[in-house]
Amino acid sequence: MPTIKLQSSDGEVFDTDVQIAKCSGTIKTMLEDLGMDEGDDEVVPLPNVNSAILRKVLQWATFHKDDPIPVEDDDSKEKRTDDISSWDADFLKVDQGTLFELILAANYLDIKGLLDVTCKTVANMIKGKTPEEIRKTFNIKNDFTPAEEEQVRKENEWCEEK
Amino acid sequence: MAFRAGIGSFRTRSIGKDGTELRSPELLPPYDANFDEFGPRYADLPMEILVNIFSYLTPSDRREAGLTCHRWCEAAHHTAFLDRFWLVLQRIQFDANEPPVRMLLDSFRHFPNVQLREVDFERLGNYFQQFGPHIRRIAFDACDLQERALFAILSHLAGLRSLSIRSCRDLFMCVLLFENPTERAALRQTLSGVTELSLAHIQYLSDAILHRLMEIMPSLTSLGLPGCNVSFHPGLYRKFYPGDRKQPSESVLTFQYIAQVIDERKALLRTLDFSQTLVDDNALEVLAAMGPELQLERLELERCEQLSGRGLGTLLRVQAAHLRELNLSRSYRVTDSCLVQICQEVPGLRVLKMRECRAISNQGVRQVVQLAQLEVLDVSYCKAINGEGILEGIASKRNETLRELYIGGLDLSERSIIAITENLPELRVLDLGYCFHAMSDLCLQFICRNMVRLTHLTLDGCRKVSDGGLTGLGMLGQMQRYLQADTEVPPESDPAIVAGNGQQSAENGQASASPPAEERQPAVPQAPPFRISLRSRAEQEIVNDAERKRQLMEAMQQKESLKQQASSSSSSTAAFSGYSIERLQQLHVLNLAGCNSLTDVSLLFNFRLLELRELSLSACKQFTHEGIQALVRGCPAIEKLDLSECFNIKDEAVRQIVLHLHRLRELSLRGCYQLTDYSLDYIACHCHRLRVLDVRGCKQIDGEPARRLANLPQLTTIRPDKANDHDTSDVRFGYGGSAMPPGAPPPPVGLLAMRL
Repeated sequence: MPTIKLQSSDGEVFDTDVQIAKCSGTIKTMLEDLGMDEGDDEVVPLPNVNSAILRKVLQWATFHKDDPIPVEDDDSKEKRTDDISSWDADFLKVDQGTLFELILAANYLDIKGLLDVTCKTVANMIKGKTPEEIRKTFNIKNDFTPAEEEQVRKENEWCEEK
Repeated sequence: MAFRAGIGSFRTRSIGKDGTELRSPELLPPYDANFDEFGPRYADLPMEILVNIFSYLTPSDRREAGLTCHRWCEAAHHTAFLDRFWLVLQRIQFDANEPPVRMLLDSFRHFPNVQLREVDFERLGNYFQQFGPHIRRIAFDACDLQERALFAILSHLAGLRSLSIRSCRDLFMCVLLFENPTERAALRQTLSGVTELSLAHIQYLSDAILHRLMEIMPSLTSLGLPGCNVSFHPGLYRKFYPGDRKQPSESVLTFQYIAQVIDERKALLRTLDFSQTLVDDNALEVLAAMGPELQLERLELERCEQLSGRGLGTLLRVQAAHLRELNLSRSYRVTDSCLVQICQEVPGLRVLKMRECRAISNQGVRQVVQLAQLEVLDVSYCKAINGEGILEGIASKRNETLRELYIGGLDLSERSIIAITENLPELRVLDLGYCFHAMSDLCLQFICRNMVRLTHLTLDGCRKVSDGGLTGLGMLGQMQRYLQADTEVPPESDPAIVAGNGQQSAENGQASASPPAEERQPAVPQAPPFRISLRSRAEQEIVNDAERKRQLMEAMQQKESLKQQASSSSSSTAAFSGYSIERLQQLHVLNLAGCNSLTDVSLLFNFRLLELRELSLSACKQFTHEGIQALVRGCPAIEKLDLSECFNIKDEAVRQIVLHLHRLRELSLRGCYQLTDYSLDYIACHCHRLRVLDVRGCKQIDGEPARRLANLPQLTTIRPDKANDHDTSDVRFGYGGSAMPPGAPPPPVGLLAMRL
């Protein structure tokens, strides 16, 4: 089985199946652009992903390696968050920091399936909450001045999203 | 690719003597700019990721998320969502020097859609100069609008696509509307992109005015004249157009003139709306004669009482290839043969509405299954249809295209409703209002089991629905028996049907517990026949209340014991009970008005719906503050709550509501006579977003609640106790999935709606 070496930001090298690694659009492009053959001793550096996160990403990719390629969503209004598989739900039972890193890693590595499922998880954590509760959950600092907050509140009086 | 500032340190590789990698010992963990001292910085996620996350939220949740910080606010107002934003100005003076318009001028936000309802135009200022070019759709509804003001507004709307004017009487009484040809030429330039025009319920519309409007909007694809006084009689036409007079009349609006307009524009027109006019068969035959050049995709003929199958048939034959949406609701003379023709000849139909078409029966409805692309079907209140028509029609085979089904007020059967749940899994909207014979707990269980994508569920008036249906307590046995009878599986293989391997012994134990549990379910106290009670009414009520409470306590204890059994056998509660409404997580609108058998048990047991926006529990008289307390914690996003006639509600319930429902906009407490002024105080303290409050029939409440609620900034309508009690116009919950709410008819004169 052809493998490829992926190196995280903190120097750890992961020997990975090429097919699994190619679920990341970024790695796929790198391999094709750099003309890397499998089996070379070449290492693909991933400076934006640390080893703990890369390990988790590869775990996800290994489980999902047989998934069909996700198509680009059309602009349908029907986006659902209740279709996260139980394996994914368990996989994402992590602390906020790890979830955050996974989102960034999925974005950097261009893994649509992982990005979608992490975004859905975050969306599920926002549902039904007040702004204060959302701030607490996600460690968001309220950078509105009282005047700005008042302005936004007033605009919302007259604005509806349908 | 995400740009991350402060990349973790990049270590160089060191190769040891035997060629293996050596890892230098870890020093301090690398600096990570994505975390501050409090944790990960979600506020600083890249914008495209934030927009991706927000695209999974409902508009209501998105608004709340946008109130957290600047970047999230920016994401919530991103162009991806912009199309859906409406500026809704209602009952204000449009004055550029006064709020709210002055506030809107100060902000930089522009809205692509503007709805102006009951607005007086005082001083336009430069609002439309500034924001006009971004406006795509504008709707004027019962506004005090003058000709000059409309001209001034329209001159700035260079990007306009859709114009809707409804019953602005003063505007059309003025005969000078758009009279100046130079002004018309200028407007024609500006409004060259307008494709939709709707002129609804305008009494004084005439051929001349229509002519001028047509002149300034050359690119129309959709023309609507619902509720206008269109004259179809050829005699009237001859009177006002004697000889060969070609000048459009200023006195009448005639179909003959409209037909000319349609004929001139038939290459472009796709949508026609003649709802609530006297359109008749001859008129439709005239349209049919415009032959294949006129390619209608959408035809609205709601409440056209003059129509029958003849004209419609002729028109449909010509337009069959293109027609996608057809609305014949309340056109009473449309018959089965017409429906059969539609089903056979219009294969591309997506929307079919035939609400209250009394002449439709099973024979016609059975054929609807032929419409393979149908997404919306409305046959509510067609009294001649019953369960068979549905069962042998659209519910006869699996259909993943249908999205909205309105079958309220029909004499359905349990079997037909269950067949719907099995064969139409992709439904988003299901209206079973007043199907009180058929709609039972078993049906509701099947809905909860199969239709997890529902967003609107209407079960008003379905009196048989009780706690078992909503919670599934003790229902599994019944469901199993139904399925087993349906598939004729021998009784020994009963446990095989249940999903849940390895728990069969526990289930067998539970299954024996459930029949007795079923028997102990609280039943609505039936009045014994032929018994004359000599008690006073008040005493009878006390007795009824005590009985209810006793049954309630019994039900709660039963629930507790079932829960204990569940935790002790370590299987989930779903193993022995049926399905709870909590499975329908995408539910936005739920109408349980009149389901009198429901008690607090339903609300206490798993009533957690995070996206629920509108809930009606009107006339569900057994709810108390205990249930309400659980409800408001489980459904924090509720914006419209109807608790009218729930007379067991006391102040404590209102306190719970206002503390937990932060997004509440409309609250009806009509007929909750146990409420006192404390409720008003709770509302005044906490309900900051409240707009409509109904406290009619709350006799212990102050006769002038407005005084106590003066501090609520958005409260515009209170219906106080002294109001005319004949008015029973309730807020209509969740009718249809359309983007714009149907325009409400003007309120009756007797209604005391107080403006603040």
